[in-house]
Amino acid sequence: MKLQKNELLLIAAFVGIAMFVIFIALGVGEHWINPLNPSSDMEVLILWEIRLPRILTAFAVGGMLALAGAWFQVLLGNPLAEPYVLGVAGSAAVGAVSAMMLFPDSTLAMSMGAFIGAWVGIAAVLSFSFLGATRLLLAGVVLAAFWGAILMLLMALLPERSLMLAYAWMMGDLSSSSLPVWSLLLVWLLALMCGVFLSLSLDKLLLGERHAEALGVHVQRLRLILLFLASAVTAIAVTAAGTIGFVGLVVPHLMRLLFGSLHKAVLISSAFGGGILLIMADTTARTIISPAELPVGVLTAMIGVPIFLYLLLRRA
Amino acid sequence: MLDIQDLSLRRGNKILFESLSAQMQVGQVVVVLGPNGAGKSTLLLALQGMFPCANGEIQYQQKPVSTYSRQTLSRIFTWQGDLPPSEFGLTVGQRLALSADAKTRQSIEDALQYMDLGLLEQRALGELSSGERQRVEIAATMVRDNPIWLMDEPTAHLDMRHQVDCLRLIKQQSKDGRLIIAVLHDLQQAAGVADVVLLLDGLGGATVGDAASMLTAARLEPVFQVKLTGQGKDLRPVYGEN
Amino acid sequence: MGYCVRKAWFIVCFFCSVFPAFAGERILALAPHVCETLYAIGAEKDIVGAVSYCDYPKAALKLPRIGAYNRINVEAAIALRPTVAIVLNIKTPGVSKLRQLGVKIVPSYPVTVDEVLQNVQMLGRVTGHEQQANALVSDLQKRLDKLTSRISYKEIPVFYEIWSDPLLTAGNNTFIHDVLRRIGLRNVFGSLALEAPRINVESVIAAQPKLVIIPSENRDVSKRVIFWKKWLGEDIHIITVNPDLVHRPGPRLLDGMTDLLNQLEGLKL
Repeated sequence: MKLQKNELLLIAAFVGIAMFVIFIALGVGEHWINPLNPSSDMEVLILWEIRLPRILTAFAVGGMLALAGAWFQVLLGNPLAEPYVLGVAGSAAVGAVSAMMLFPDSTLAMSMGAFIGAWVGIAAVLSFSFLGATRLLLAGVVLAAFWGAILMLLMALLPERSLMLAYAWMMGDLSSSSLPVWSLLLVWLLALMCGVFLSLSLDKLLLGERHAEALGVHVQRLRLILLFLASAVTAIAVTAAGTIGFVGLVVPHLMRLLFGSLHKAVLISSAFGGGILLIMADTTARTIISPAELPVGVLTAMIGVPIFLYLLLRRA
Repeated sequence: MLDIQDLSLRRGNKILFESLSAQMQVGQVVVVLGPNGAGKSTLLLALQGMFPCANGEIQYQQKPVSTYSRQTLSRIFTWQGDLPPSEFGLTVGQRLALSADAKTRQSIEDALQYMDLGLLEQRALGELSSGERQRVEIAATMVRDNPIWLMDEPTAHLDMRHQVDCLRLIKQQSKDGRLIIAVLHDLQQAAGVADVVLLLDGLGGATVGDAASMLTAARLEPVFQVKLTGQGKDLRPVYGEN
Repeated sequence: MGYCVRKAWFIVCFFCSVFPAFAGERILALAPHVCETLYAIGAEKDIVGAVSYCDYPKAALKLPRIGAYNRINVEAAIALRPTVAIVLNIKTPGVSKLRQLGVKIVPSYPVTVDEVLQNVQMLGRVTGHEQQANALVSDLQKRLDKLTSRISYKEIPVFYEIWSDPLLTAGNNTFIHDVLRRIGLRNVFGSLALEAPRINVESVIAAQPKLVIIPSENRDVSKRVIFWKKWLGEDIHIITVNPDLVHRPGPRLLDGMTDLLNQLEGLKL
């Protein structure tokens, strides 16, 4: 994994921006707390135990979703692919809600359910992969609708007391991640490193599978690795924060517009950019109608849907 | 150098062709002719180990192609095939760099120069015409500097001037020590560059011979089911004129 | 002949719409508090159907179910040949269909303590049990007055934790908000014009409640106590309430309020 001067510069710039955004996000909330100079013990506690874990969770989850989006896009050869559109988020929600029904008061069961659900969703989409990339995307969209219907069914059966949790989880909720923050950051870092390591092969895959193979890429093996990475990262992100849509779609695309389509730049910038975007979305969600909060998924969808439609129009 | 022994290819249940044997050498231009669906493109894939042989074997320097690693094969064969997708906004320069691997900047400059692409280097592939994208693919073939070129309809989409450039390039490169295997549809172009012609009849038969003996009305009329007139380099189909 | 029948029918309809209904109605009780109230005023014999969570008194569990408070099965409802349906919200799916089929629709959605009492009277009128209803109301009113006179403190800031994950509380214009107000407490999020706003822990800390009230359902109360002691300090008071008593605008409300007041008096506030 060789990083050129340009890429190191890119990383340095993004680390700088991320630090700045985290600093601001740490400061704002119910009231402004200067992160460098908190005035009481309670402020210290609020900074490090309420705001920081939430901000770092947002960063890791946003980065992971953006990386997974970029991977699904190259995997399917279609820039409109992303976990949410492919129904993977929906199947994870089905898994989580099913677990809620079977083991009502267990957060662990819910996380496991989400994780298994994400994998089932990916397997379902991929069992159509022989159809080719375009139809695979179509299959994903149809499956997403299917998971949505199953979800409605489960919610109708769910005891009322679990509904709140199910709703919160489906709209994305960063306030109480069931996975520890350090593990999310570790996964983020590993995912980014794997991505950068594979970036040259991924670039070749942009030329189509045959060209990639002729240029010496083991396409089958690469596809398997990518699938594993993208689905594992999606499953972990969804488990941690519920279903947060459109980060995986919007961020890689913006980064391609800004930094070109070669993957070293796309993946590095998406991993940071996705994290930064989700921190900003979540900070807005928790402050805009303070003291009440909005679900973060509402904000990302509100930003994401217009951009998605714009991309569709531009391609037509 | 490249040795095809009793090769049969099959797609699904359909036999494309059987019992093809041929020896190809550096310095040759081998033109593959045949009707649509006869297996010409598939043959190019099979030669570089990207399509399984139903029977027989392909050897490069006395060793079966299947024993080489993917990496090594990519340093032996250069493949020019369909136009790569343009959705992701790769630029011409980036596309060439992906083919060039570790080659120097100079080889990219030369290829851009030769294929008349100098002004397009920073443009995205999606913004180009098919002809321009085809030229990019040929330039991408040039930057790879491999001993064998497998070209699938290299003159497709090109205007007359660039067709001529392309055929000249093929001729020149074979003289400089490469083996070039090209699928072509135009008889004049085939006659212009071919040393050897490999004819797939679309019914399972495959024949190989030197260009002069293969490019005759007697050989080609039954395969393509068209009437041909003239001979040698002037062999051409009758379009219905008097 | 036909004319006479039609005329008689018209007169019957006219009287039905002008005068309150009489005993002998066949009633659908489509919310838990409606069910409880009807039992309390002796109208239980008239109830032909109920919805899920209509669980008090025990006898109510035997009633046929026709859906939930937010969705009913019209076919099952009609099969019970009801004449009156008492609903939380007339926009509930299926209710307009019942109305078209000739069932009288009576909305019952009290959001203040006073409205609970008015609601009891209204249901008494509708079912023809006015006497019992009036007796119950005056009893409830007496208990309420006695309760109010006992209150010795003023405007204690309180955080009402409707839900723990996500953290939800009660906003303005909600029944819980009014119950808290009547018992001398100040809902710290009483200014929010939302029914059940999601709240950040930080906001609770900033609101500085002296008391946290936790409905004792679906959560590990001992964990919540540890949680709130950590964020609101060791001297925060935490009490639990039975949500069935406090959340339902029915006759057991005074039991819930009395229990709340007893607990409050046990604290050093």
